[in-house]
Amino acid sequence: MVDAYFVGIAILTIGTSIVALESKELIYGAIALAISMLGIAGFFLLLDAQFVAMFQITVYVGAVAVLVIFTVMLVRTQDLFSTKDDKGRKVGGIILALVTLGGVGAIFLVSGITNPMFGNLDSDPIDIKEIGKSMLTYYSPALIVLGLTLAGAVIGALALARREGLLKENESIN
Amino acid sequence: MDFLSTPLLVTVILGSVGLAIPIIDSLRKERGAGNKLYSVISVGAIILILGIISIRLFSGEPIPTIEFGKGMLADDMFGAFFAISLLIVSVMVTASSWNYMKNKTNPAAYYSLILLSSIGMILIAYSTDLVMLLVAWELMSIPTYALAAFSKRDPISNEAAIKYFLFGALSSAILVVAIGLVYGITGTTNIGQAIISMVNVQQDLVPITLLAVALFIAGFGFKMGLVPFHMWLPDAYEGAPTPIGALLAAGTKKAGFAAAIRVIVLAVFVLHLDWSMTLAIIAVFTMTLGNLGALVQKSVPRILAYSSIAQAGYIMIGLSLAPYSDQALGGSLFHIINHAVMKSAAFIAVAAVAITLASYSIEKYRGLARRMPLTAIALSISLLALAGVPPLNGFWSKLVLFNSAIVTGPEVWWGPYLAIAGVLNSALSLGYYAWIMRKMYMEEGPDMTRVKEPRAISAVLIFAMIFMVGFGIWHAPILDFATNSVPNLSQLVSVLPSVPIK
Amino acid sequence: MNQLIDFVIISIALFSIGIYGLVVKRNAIRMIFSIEIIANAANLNLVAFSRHVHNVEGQVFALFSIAIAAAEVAVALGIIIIAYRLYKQIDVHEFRSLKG
Repeated sequence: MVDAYFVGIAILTIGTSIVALESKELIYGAIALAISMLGIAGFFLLLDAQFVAMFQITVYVGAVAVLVIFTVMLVRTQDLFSTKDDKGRKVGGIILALVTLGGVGAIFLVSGITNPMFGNLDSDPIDIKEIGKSMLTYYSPALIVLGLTLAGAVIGALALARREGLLKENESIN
Repeated sequence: MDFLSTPLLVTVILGSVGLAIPIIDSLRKERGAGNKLYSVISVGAIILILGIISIRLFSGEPIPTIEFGKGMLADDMFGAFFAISLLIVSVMVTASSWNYMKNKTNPAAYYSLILLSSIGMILIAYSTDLVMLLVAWELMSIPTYALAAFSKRDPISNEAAIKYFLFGALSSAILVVAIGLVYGITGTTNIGQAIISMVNVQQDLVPITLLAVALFIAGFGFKMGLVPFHMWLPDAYEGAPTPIGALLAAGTKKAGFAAAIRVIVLAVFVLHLDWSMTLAIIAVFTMTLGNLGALVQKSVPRILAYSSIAQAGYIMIGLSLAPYSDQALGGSLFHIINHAVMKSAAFIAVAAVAITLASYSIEKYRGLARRMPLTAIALSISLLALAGVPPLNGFWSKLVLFNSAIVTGPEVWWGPYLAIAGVLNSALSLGYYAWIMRKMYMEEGPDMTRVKEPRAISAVLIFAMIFMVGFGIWHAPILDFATNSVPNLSQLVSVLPSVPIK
Repeated sequence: MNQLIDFVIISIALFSIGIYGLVVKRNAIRMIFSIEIIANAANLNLVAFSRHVHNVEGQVFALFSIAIAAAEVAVALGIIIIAYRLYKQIDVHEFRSLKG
């Protein structure tokens, strides 16, 4: 059985992620996406993963969602986002989503993880110190590489967003 | 942690050079210039790494074929093989960018991103932990998203970049799901430990294992360009700046195969999943659709993109037959290094034409043999090698692959058909390759004046021609290197504890 | 008490919503939303399994995955800003048809 917090957060998360895709105005969609990410952070709290929940809020809600909202406001003009969805495509998408939900859900439901022995979440929560320790020992090479990844993203984004007015470009050769 | 192990040396050296280039650029007074300087620095750094890895290989120090150690990175032959193939691609790309990036904006970021992406590709081949694999996968992908969009005035390039990003991000999200499932079943992210625990997994968790393997195939399949996941590929390879097309087709695609061999092939083999047939069907569809798609194209980079889909199909032959044949995986690796050189040579020759004649259209290639003789001959040789014409290197790797399909034995009744499909596809591909060559050699264009060929690109093309012809005539060393880098699957089983022998 | 399977089902539901968005929507920003929803579903899956398996690796992996998603979005929005400068709109409908 699930408790009331779980039901509340589940409805919030799934509802807002549908709103994020279906809202008429893109900006409301972006805000709904941010709320959906907050809902995921709530799930993390239910799973006793406070550190990951904090990280989710700071990075996803604090950085990603805000970045998305700024971009949406930056590129906003009156008639840009009034696209109607293709009816046939929409039906196909709903069918595909239901098939995914049913198929993957069925795989999980027939498997052993529905067994209450397996799905036992009552053990003591993981100590945050352990996360820090493993980050600095076993995972340290991945941490270095992650640093390079972020540096690559920053260099790439800066190179893309920079305006060049001064240099002549003859780039479009098609 | 051993700071002198090859993967960490690669990370530290290429990473610090890659990050130093934008810093040098911001200190210089002239904005946007310095293309030549950065090109030389990056080529130098890559050649230094190539030298270090070669010295390690030839020093006689025993290197394990494939390792699943306790750490996140192994220092083994398998990784070294991929590192050398991928570094050859990066050195060709950076050297030819000497000409391509002339008078273009932001050279510093361009070279820095290529170096960072190369680190990611190499670390994929070395990683023995799924977390490392994912982080390296992103280090490879994120810079290439930016590089694909580098021609900012070109709408086609931008559209290609958006499409490439969407499919790339989807593939990494699918990989996170797959890794999550593996972790949930086995409780570890180390590839070796995960495979061992999967063997002893409870019977009722097997469906989740299968779902995880399928998601891995989908996630890696997007980068490898296998058929249900290939729709983004022609647009991205065509729209990206042409040297970046070479990096994508010859580099990131091969890194996808490295990951697939590390994860899927070993898992399928150890778990005794009978997925060979599925992988073989994917292989046949991939090569057939790739070749058929290439037949109707008008733009040369697009033809090359479709042909690289087809080549992924040939490489998949070896992956699908890996459990049954000793030489299949060796053949795949042999074809991977050959394809890396052939495809980057072809793309770089196209870049030379794009720089001088400002067009990708096949019509501009009429009479190219007289206008740009060196480029024309290099393009022809790489196309012939791609088709698998005898004295060239592509012939030998296809021979090994098709041969391994024939000699698999009675257990794989469809093996010979796979070989027949491969041969028929090679014949089909010769059709459009010959068409390009006919345009270059037999037809005359409106303008037949000799054009000056870009120097750095010519040097790269000469190197590639020597590689293709030289290792075509004397293919033994590379074939030995490839077969020595392949994990011996039957020994792998004897190492792992309590595996049910079929 | 909540079971592991409850969290997994929520994760699958979010995953399906993301797939729906990727198939139906033709607006580049909406498609990025879909990918973010899928990434969130994957992270939820990971942390739930980590709670069950009871070791630290799942949470560490979730941290890596969140950081990576942020890096991806930064580059993606860079590309979209260029698209906006080029087209003054970001609708994939206006692009060339999906060939191949």
